[in-house]
Amino acid sequence: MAKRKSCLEVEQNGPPVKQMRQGLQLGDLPLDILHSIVSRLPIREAVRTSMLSNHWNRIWCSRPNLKFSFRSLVYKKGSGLSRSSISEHVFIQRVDAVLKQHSGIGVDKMKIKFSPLHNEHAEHIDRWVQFAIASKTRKLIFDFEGQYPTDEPYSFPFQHFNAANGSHLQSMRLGSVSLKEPSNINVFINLKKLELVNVDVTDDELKLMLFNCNVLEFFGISCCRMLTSLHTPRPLNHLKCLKVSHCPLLQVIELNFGLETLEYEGTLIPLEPPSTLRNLCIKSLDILSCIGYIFTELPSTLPHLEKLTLRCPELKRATLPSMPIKFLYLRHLRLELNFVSLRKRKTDVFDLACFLEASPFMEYLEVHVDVDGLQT
Amino acid sequence: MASAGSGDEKAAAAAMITLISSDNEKFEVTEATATLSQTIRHMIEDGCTDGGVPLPNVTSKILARVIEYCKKHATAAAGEEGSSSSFSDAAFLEVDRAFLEELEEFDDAFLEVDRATLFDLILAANYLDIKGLLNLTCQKVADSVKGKTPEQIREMYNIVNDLTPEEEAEIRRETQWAFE
Repeated sequence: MAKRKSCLEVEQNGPPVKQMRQGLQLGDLPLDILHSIVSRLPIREAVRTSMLSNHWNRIWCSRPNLKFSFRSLVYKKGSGLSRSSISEHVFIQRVDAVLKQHSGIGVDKMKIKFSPLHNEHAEHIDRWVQFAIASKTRKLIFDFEGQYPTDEPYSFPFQHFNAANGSHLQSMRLGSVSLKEPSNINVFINLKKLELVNVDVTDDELKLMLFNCNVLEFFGISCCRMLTSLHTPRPLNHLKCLKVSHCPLLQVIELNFGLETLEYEGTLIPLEPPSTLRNLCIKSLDILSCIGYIFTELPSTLPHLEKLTLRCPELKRATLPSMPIKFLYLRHLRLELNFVSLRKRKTDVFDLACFLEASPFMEYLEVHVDVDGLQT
Repeated sequence: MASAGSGDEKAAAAAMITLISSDNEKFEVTEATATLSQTIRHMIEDGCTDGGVPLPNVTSKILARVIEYCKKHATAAAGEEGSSSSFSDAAFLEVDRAFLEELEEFDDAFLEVDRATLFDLILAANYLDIKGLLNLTCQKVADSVKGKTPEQIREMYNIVNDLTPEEEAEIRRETQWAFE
């Protein structure tokens, strides 16, 4: 209490700067709190705090989040600098500068998002992978997706991983990377989440890779142009959530028992969801009537389905079903319908009332309607 | 100030915990409020809260604020468990949205304190292991230095530059890119 009083006295008499120097100061806070504060700053600003004083010099170096992107490393407001005008060299230099100073421990997430990077830069990217391995990074994101990819994609260095050093990785997202010659030994023994976007991978390579991810719970794959079939059977017993979108050549999906969430977007293919499914989301331009699809094509063998989302154009009017209760557990139905044109419309929103009968325990019914781009 | 919960709340005495500040003021709070602090949660689990929980590192002024935060957020946590159990994505419901907005407004108003109090709150949140409060207060400090030059930050937080010119030149060379 005495301290507080003297604080007050200074406030009344002393000059403003002096009164600030009383009491608890930012630098008095424990180191782990200062780490936490500096880690909340964007990386460039965090690096600048090393100029403050001796005490602050290396505080930023143990930040758990390393997010490298054009925005975080290079972009400057009003400078007119664009992604294409800076050389990959500058970006690489800056990533290296940060990694050189970083303590190399306690990295939670390392994210590198920069579209000009490709296989020509493999030597540098490999070095970053080695940093991630050595620092026991838990989440790794490489996103080299560009609008017009022309160069050979970076080839993911499976050879750097082994059963011991790969065990720290829990989540990985790879964009515009090539997954050639995946390791045939189990290196990602603790990988729970895997997302692949626009990766170069064949059916067999993907199968081998997934086969070695024993505890995978989430798998997402999109825009993979080589993929024709996807299998998630037995070794993937833990897989709870699968998201597949825009894989144009994909014809077959074989799903594992135990799957709880399935999201599919793209050309309609036969889906045989396991009876454990609780959440299903399908978005396809090939479905011409939501009523027709749900009642005639969707398997009625989904006893646990709780949430169903369907996005499709409404081009045909389906004959209303006269069937018994179909979705006993369904509590939430979301329909995103595109009535292509009001004038040409053949369907009637009131037809949707049949869902109320088919799912007696429905709590939420959401209908989002889009008419020629106008959302209502 | 210290009489919070001394009267009518006694009815629910079974689930009440007494917290004792460094200056010996007693605060009676519900278990739900107190267990937002992991430190206190562990003490309750170990059964060592009879006769009150002494908190020698927290003054009554700060403890009152911390309890105010915990009360609000304990109600929020209870609401989440109750209404939308398996519907984590049912946030589209107006009720939920309004509630989250209210909570955000509370947090904003809660952070309207002078710097010394903010640091005291950080220390208390750290000691009591209240994750939400620690996040909130640390973020507030981080936001306050965003976009500032080292000189401005030094002035703002009374940091004395004790780097020798050589050290300063060395650091500047290593971090030049971050100033470009």
